[in-house]
Amino acid sequence: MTILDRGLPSPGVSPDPMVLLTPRSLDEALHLLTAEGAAVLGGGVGHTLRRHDRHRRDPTSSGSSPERDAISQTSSDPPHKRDATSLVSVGSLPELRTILWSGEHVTIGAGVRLGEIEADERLVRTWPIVTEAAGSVATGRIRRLVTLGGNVAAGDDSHDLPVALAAAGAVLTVRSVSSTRTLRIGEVNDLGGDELIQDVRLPIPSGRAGSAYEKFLSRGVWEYACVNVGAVVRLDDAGAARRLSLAVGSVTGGPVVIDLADLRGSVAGGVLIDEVARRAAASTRPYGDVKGSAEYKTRMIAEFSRRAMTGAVRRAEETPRSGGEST
Amino acid sequence: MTADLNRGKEPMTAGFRGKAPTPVDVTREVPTPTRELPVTGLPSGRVLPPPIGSAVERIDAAEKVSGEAVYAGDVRLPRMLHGAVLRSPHASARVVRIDTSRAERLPGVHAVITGADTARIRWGAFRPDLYPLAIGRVRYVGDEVAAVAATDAETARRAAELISVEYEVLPAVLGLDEALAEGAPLVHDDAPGNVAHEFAFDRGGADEWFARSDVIVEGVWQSARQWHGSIETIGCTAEWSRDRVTLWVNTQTPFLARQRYATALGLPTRSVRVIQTEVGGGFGGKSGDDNTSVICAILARRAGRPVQLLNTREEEFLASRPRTPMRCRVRLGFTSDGLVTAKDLDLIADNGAYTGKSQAVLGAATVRHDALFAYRAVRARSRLVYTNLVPTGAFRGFGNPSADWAVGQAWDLAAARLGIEMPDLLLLNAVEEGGVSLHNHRIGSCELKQCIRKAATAIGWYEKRSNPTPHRGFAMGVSVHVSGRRSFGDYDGSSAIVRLTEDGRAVVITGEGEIGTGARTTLAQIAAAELGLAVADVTVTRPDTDLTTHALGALASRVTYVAGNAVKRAAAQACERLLAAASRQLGRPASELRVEDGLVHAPPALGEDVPVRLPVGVVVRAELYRPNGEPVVGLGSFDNPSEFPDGVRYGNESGAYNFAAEAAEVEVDPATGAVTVLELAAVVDCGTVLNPPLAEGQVEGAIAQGIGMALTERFDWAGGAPTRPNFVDYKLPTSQIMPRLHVEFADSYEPTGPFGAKGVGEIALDPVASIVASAVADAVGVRVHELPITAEKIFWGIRSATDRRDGDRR
Repeated sequence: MTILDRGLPSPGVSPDPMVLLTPRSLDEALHLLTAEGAAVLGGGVGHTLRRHDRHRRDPTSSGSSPERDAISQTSSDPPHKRDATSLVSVGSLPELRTILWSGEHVTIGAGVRLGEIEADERLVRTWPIVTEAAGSVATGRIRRLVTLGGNVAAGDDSHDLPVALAAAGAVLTVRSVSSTRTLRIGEVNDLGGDELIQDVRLPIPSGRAGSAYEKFLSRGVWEYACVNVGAVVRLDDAGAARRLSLAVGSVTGGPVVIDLADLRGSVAGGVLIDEVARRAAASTRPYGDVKGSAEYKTRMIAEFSRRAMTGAVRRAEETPRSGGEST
Repeated sequence: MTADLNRGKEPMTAGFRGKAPTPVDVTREVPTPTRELPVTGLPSGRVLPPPIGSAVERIDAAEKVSGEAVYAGDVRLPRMLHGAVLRSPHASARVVRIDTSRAERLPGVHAVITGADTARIRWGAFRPDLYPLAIGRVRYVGDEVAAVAATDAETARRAAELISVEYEVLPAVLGLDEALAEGAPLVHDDAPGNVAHEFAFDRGGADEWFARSDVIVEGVWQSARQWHGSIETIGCTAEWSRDRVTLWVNTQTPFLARQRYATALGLPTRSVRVIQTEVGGGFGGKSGDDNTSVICAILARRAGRPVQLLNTREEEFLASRPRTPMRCRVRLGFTSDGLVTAKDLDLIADNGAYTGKSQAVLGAATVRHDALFAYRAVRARSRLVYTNLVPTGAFRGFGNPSADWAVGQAWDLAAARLGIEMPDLLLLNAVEEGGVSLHNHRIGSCELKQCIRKAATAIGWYEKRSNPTPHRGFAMGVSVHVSGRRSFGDYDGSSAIVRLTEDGRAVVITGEGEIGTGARTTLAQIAAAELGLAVADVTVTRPDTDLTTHALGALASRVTYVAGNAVKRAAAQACERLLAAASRQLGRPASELRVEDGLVHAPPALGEDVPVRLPVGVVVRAELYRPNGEPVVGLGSFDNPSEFPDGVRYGNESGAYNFAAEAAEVEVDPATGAVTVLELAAVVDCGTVLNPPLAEGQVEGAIAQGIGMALTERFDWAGGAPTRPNFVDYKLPTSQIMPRLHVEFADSYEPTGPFGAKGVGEIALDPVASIVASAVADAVGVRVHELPITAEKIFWGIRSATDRRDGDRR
């Protein structure tokens, strides 16, 4: 923490010491979350960064720029994360640590670590987009800490998992003491202060399905993506796209799911992929930062959308024809 | 005019007096097969004692890997407080009013200080312009305004936030052009035009030689701030005893720092004692040009208790002394067959808000690389310019990488224009032993040509260049560095004391210190080799300005060469005295005695058939335990055989020059502009390699920092400061992007060096950014003129080239 004078500071701007609560069950955790000032603690990575990150200058003090405002907005905390006085640690709750397979769905507990997702062989086979996104996050040490729920609940447009999950059509199960409801990835900012993501549910793809995740590191070293894109496709036996989905991260309001509904039925080839790339670039608003200008990122969104969709189609084509599979 | 040159008939000798380079017939130039030599690379017939050239384990390895080593933040003193600094959020402002009352009332706070509590003395290595805490003005985002000492760091930071400062924001100059503009706001009132320092010269008549040139290349290149990124930030612990302060600091240069800290504190030098802690990476960034230790000392005096002050990572980025960015306009002239004629350099360096070492950095950037080639004439105009940005200063390479970034690319342009392969062009012009540059650099040992040939072979230059792969490119560059430089008065020497102990060991007392390079290990090797002791039986002290010899410290790649010579001489004297004592004790002439493996050896006495072996400790003890007994101690000193350059940088700045040739192969993804450095070959002439793994580590680390400078290290800026001053934005290169390395050392021996050694700490960084840029240009036809080389710049460069081609077709 570096202290740049903030002009007229008010007492209490510093983070106060917090209470750490470690419930033994999900119900107890939900109960604790009803208290004023309580917040969820998953793997602790985001929390540690927030506590450390006191250096940012007041945008009104000097040199405010649209770029920085964009950064502040995209990485700022959801309202319920602010002014937390107690942290409810849920990362070790057994109810949140399982990956369950049913006939139609795979349900991943919110406490499962990214490293565990990355290494799950069945997930690697069914949803490579998800395991690739998990494996692209930072370093192994961080992936062993970060929970799926924490990564999604952060609402950070540059995070990798939400992009993959949005493309895959994931549904979040959200719990509070009094309710259970479902949210889409894009609705995660609606999470209430007393709510907790319990799990993430994905349909199990059938037929000739493929998915791929592309993360562009413009400097070659691990960091948040310059652009990150996830693509999902299902082909019929004639090679036409029956399901088509693409999500783009590291853009304003991201991850943004690109509307491709009218392209369903087209042959999954170069023309379709170029159109997907064009739409992805045209319907997203990236922001300039140290990784590149907005203009450059728009070009890269097209390029990596093309690569992701190409990868997804190739995987779908490698899946044997089932005979008669349709939407 | 060119007819006057007698090209090809006899070598031109105007530029390099002494031995002139021999022009080679480039058409016959073929890759020379490498002769495989051990890394010690000893010229034939030279035998060196066993610890020299061996992979001796670092003497501090165990304490470092086990966590026992005491770094700046590990120092613990009874009743110690922790400090925090309040810094300016404005690039330029007048400090109207400071209210510290709320901070003072916070429980746990023991001292709150502002500029009013300081001696109000400006300090600095060359141009005193920095107050310990702001007096009336702040000049960059991060400038120190006030500080607090409290029972713990968190309380100190909270208190610092409670200090209220009223500023009157002033117009700021946030770049070189703004600073040099007519009527620009002044960063310092006593620096008209914002020029902190300038000099110019024309040696050899540049205009005349350009007029006689067949090929002239020209360009402008701009380098950028690069931070040291040491794993340990700058830190200090201060404790007063009456009117004397002891500072435990992770500085590279304890004695020079003491002098400056005393000035800043308004105290005589005798009132300050500096003790070096373990240093977690220096790279020039811990050269004592920043305020952290000074503020720490003032806080401790005010609180009446010891205080520890450690930079946060953000403070390290906002307020340390990163590499000096430079804008270089370079013009080079050549004859049509590739002999270099003249160089013209117009150099503008970004000083930031305060001067520190940048004045000397500018000097090195202006003249150093001229020791590489036989220029006939060199003209330069160099200016150091104040801006309202973070002050700049010393960083590994010290001006060389910024100048090489420009000059190296100009040479690459010339090779293309001349149609000569780069290794051939370099060989044609490279300096040799005995050369003297236009600035009077007197070149001793020099294996630059050997380095060039070996680097070309290692990278497979000729084979791969004749079989090009799409989107791949090659480049080669060379550099020269000093082994110590006369910078701080007419002395670049070192002294050491070697005390032989009564238990048979040796203690080397030297103030040079260790910043992580392994210098204490190589000094131990030198002492052990000279004494005939095992390296494990040699201890090397850490600097303490009260207890050790005076030393300038770790800068300018000087410790191996300068301190190594002093230690060698001290050990030689100790050994001589040991043998004199043994001679008396044994009744044998000293000429019959020698020391090996910790034993004094003598041939069998007359009438005996068993040779004499006496442990060193026994001799030392016997010399002591007798009436009027004496210790066995040797004193050695060495001054770099160099000249103190004058105001226009004329003078042989070092007694030994080290050289390197590096070649890289890169690949560019044309769809994104992203660069991958595939392979990099570095061949270094550092004389005798004293410890191969340590020398290789220096070369590898320097290449990594060069790749960082070239490709990854940058910030997003706004309002005169990085928007996120931490490693989230600022990316050091990692193993992910390190190329396949070919590190070799030239077969070389420096006659004035300890066992033939020269410096090796900096040189390998110097050419990296330049050759990456030139290789990118070779790969995709886009030459980047401003660091860093980003994928985006290359992408747009490729796009505009494509657009141009499309336009031509229409």
